[in-house]
Amino acid sequence: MNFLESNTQSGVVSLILLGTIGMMTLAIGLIVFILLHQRKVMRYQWTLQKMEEEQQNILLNASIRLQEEERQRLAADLHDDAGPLLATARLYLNENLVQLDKPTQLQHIINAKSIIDDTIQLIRNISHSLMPPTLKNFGLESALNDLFQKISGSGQMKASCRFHDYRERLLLEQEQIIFRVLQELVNNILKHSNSSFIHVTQNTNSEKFFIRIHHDGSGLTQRDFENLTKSSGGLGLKNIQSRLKVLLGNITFEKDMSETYYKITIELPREEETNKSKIKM
Amino acid sequence: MVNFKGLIRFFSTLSSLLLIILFLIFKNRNKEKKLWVIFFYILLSFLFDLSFFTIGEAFNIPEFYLYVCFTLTEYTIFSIFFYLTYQRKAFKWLVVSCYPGFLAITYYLLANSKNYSFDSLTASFEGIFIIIFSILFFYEQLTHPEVTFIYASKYFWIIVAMLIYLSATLFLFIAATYLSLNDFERLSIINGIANITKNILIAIAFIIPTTKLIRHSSGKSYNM
Repeated sequence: MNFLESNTQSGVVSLILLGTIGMMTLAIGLIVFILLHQRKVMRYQWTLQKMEEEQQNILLNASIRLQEEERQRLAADLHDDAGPLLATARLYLNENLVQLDKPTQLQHIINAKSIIDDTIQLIRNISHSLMPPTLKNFGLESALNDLFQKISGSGQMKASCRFHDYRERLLLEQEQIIFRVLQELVNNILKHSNSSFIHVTQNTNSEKFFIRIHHDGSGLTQRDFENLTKSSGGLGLKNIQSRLKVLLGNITFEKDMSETYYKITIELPREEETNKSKIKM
Repeated sequence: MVNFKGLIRFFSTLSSLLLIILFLIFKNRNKEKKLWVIFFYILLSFLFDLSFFTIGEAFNIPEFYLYVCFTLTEYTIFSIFFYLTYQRKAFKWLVVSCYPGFLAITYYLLANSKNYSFDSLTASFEGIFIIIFSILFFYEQLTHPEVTFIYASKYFWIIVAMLIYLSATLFLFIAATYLSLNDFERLSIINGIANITKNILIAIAFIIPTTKLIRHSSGKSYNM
């Protein structure tokens, strides 16, 4: 009996020792696993953060480059067009004018007036291209209609737009951003798509504001868009992305189910949400 | 001559005392309520180690009841600590709902005690519950980390201490009923070593500086 009891006792002791070693191994294993797993997660998060920073940098560079290009265009317009016109007007109105006979003087003044009128028109055009007065005074819908009238007027493409629910205008800053985005998109369609029409529609639901562009040319899919925004090219698209980011908006490119049209959809959160993003212009 | 077992017991009690002193030295780093809960536990544990035999003999209370009393207090303190540490409400509720269960086990043990010398049942259940709570803490920290590096958190070290201590003593406590008094005394070295390890890990928690918590927010604002 004593032998059996002592055997049982030593069995229990062994069980305790083995169990303790097993439990300790499990506990330490668990702690090591957690530390390694956390390190892995942290590394993954750092990589993601780095990628996001790189993307931000690309967008920032794109917007700076675009701004520079816009300045250069403006400088070129002023220097190449307005500059020579004013110089010519100056030639007509030089100090020798008083020594000329009356009819020639009159002719020179008429010529100078005509050149100055042209210059005024040119500067107005430059100013309108920077900030369309229709957009400021009458809103996005009218500005877009104006733009599309000009495009349709060329006779090469039919452009139209229809706003279904735009009783309350967005803030001017928001309208400007959307207009610039639409201008860029329409410009891309005109340059690259060979489409016969562009149709823009606007709609809203309780949460979002939508603008959709349809065209029948060759267009981009979401994958193309993502590839272009990640590459060194696609400056205009990057700029669209960074502009929409300001409005907490989103853009998607897709081919219609019928495979006939390309659709570009811009989604923006409605006023209350958008106003939360502090826009300082 | 002091034997190894006595030495371990001495160092175990001494480590508790050093931990109390350490907490008081680094009091400015350990202002949070949860850390005071742990300090209270260390204090109780130290007093219990000192007066275990004295109280029993003075008031003629059997060791078994003192063990039950200590296990219940220890479980209560750990539960409060976990309740305060968890971020998820579900886990907090789990801690709260396990507590009546533990009380029921304690009541069952007291009602059916057959001249036991050690509260094997409550100590084992305490170990199992606290190990589960510790794993849940790690799960929570992996899914919703509060700090950038988990080992920079004081609570991580405290919970590692609990996990190591209770994992090391779990089998001893489960099988304590089947051991002779002599074997139990012999194997209580495991308890002593686990206790010293636990105190060292808690000491790390008391010494390391407080880390800033990660704020989980999704609100973004952009300036143009």
